[in-house]
Amino acid sequence: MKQIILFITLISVMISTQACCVHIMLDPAGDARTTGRLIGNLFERGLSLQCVEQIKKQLSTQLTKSQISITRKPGDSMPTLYQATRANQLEVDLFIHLGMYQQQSARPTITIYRYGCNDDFVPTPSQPCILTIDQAHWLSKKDTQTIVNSLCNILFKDSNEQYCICGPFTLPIKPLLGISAPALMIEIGLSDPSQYTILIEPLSNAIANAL
Amino acid sequence: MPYKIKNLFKNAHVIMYSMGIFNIMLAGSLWYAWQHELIIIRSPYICHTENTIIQAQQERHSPIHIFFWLDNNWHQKDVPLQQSPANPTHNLHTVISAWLDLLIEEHLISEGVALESVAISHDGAAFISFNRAIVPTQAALIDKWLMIEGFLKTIARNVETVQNVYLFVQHKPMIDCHLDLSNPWPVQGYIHDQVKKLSR
Repeated sequence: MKQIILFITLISVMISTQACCVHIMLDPAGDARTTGRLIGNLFERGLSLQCVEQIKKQLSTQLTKSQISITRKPGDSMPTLYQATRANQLEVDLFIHLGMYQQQSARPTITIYRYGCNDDFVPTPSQPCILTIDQAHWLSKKDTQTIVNSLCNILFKDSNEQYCICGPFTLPIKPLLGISAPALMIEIGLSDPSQYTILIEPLSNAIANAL
Repeated sequence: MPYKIKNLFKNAHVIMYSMGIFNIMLAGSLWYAWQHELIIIRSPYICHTENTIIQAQQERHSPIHIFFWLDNNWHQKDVPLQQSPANPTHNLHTVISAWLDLLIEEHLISEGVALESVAISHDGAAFISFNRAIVPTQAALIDKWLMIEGFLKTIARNVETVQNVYLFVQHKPMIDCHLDLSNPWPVQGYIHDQVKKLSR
């Protein structure tokens, strides 16, 4: 009897893992030790965490068969490259780092980045090989390019002059270093901290549709 | 005992040895002083005035082209400064100092940022150390990036020998929470065909 129950549990776990087809990891900027930039009278770490939690909530309703995780909770401090290690171990389908900054312009600005060091021409390795930390992005270069371009296009179409969209830019960015899964960084420029709320829906829609 | 010492000095080959050692030490000291430019040896048969004239002719008074990003546009300013083609390290120092002065004047870099030292390796890698980070911590990633692109563009335009740039703060790698500066940045930067996307 016990063996049958164990077998059924195993089967159900396998089915549930298969049903969860997409795993998105959201990484808010800063941690308990790093406050980040100052936006109004708030720190980037708190504001980006609030934004990420709302995006997660919105995405959960849009992508029902998906797993959305946040890299940290309030008060957590992150060791160097912890996010990259975790994303690689969990084999996520998309990693998004979200940062914010104070700007003068009244309209919020969304800028999209992906990791790269003038190496777009380098072919994806077909055979098992050792890659350095700054070459990890080679494994998902094409997927990253596709996702980032479609995310930008969707955001641009849906902007309705509510916000500005900038990019996508390819740069050696520290928060995306060492991630083998498709990874991108969204940086939001705000003139007022409460402005981020108008960006939750367009950002969630764009992420859901870009995948 | 003193009798024995007197005898010892009377011995001719002992005196020869001691003189030989003294001569070697003197020659070694002179060699060291010449190598470290503590003394300068000049031949009376070579006309030094000609060399000075040639050197002076080599020193260019051509302006230094300084680039920086401001208000969604590249800006170029020409500063008339003396450059010597024979000494790229000195040129690099002059160019970076001029770039820093201009950006501090434009309030793009906080006051107090100064250049500590500069070195260029034989393979064209420039090692540049400041007293503090040049990129403002509160700025957007795009502004930090474009500041460094302007810095690289200025170097590329004025000092042709430089291929890659390592940035340091007090001789330790410069750390930024957004840009990965642990590896050298190519002097061409990462901007290339991304310029079109810069218009916000």
